[in-house]
Amino acid sequence: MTEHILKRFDDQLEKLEKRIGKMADLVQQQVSEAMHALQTSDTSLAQTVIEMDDKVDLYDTKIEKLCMRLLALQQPVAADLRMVLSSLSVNRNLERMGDAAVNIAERVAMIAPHAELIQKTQVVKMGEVAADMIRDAMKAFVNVDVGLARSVAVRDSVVDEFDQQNFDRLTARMKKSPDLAEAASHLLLVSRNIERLADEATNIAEETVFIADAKFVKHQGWGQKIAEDDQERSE
Amino acid sequence: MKNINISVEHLNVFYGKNQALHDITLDIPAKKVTALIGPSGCGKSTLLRTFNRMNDMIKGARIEGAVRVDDENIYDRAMDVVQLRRRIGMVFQKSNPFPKSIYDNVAYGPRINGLGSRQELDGIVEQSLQRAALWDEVKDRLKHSALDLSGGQQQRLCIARSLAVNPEILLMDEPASALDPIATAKIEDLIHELKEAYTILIVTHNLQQAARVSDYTAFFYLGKLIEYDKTRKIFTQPEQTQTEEYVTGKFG
Ligand SMILES: Nc1ncnc2c1ncn2[C@@H]1O[C@H](COP(=O)(O)OP(=O)(O)O)[C@@H](O)[C@H]1O
Ligand SMILES: [Mg+2]
Repeated sequence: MTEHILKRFDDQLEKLEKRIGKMADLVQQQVSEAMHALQTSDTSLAQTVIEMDDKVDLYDTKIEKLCMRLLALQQPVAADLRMVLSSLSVNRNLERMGDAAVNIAERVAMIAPHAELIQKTQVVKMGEVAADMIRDAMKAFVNVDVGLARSVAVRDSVVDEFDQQNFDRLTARMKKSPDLAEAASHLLLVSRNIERLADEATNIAEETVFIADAKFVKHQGWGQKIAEDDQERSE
Repeated sequence: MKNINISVEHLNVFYGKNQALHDITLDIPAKKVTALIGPSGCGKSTLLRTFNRMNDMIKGARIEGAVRVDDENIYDRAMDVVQLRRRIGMVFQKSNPFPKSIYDNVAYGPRINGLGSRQELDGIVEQSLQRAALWDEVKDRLKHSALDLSGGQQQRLCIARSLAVNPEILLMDEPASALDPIATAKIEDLIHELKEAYTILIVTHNLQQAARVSDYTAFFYLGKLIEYDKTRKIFTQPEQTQTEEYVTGKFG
């Protein structure tokens, strides 16, 4: 991006980008540690995920304040405005991802007595896909890479599919052995939370497109939108 | 120093490009309380977390040097980390009882480790709650939810839960920072009693607390170990001016 006449504005935009990057690192750490804690029944590691939430909240507040200051004092327009608005939105997406990771971590202890259930589901695979989506969504956002952003959105349906499979398998097991019901219910909710992670990653991918060309793809259904775009292009 | 439980040798810890700990060497004695003090960000939690390899998962975190627990380098390839974390209990700032009964919270670890008989479990639960100085307060309501306990009781319950699996070392990261003064005093009393049986490491930003509960104190500043000595010495006649300034409240 070419520099603004006001150096201070550039400095603040840069600061904003850095903070978002740091927050994203923290949240990704929360997600990977929550998944690792789940697989190894490690309640201590799970607790560190829960404690990290304070740090994430701190970043959330800092980023929100910085955006507010930028809007009030610098009155950004056009691309700059979209950048600030998107940052606010991505910030919120990241904060919710942190909450989902905490939610997963909180269930580790309840699943551990029947940890063998985990291998009976797609939860681990699903967690890997979601983690990749988050990483790529952030990469796409930072580099304004619309192609990569689209690849994130496409993967969302894979995660939804996994979630459905987990639901079927776990409810079947609960019917067969009711003593598994508690652990299985918690695992179901873990699956739901991973699905939320993927949703939030998809939201970030959508922001990237918004930044890139202000096309508002949210709530339109990705598949349809992409098809329309491709048609526009071929016309 | 006799009976060394944990031995740290030339430890460097990095988070990406940032170095959080610089060439730390120190020996932690068995069955004593060692306090880690220093201003926020000086690396106390980082050091505590190297003892149960809790930093392993952090993206970009890198460790050089050795940490030996009972003469075994825990950063050795062959180390079983899950096993290690069972030997080393950890108590956190936020008390984290599971949404289960008081009894089930304490019985949790032994059950996971395969102890099943009711009698065995009853014994462990009572003994652990006794040791955590909570038994008298909860013995009539073991089946009640742990979440109904006060903050201070929840923290002692978490200590009881750690004790139930018979750890050798207890790591405590600011265990009383969310508690009121009375609950804090109870935790401090408890730490005092627990050192009969366990090696305790406590991170605290409360200097008076470090002075009250610990036998040894390590003072860190900007990721470096500035001074490590008997607590008595650190709080009466420290060798380093930086330590002197910190414990007298001139910075931090
Ligand atoms: N997960 C992490 N990723 C990157 N840097 C970290 C992480 N945790 C701690 N740090 C950095 O390492 C240094 C020491 O932090 P910490 O051990 O938490 O200090 P203390 O417990 O003494 O407040 C700080 O500069 C902190 O920002
Ligand atoms: Mg700390």
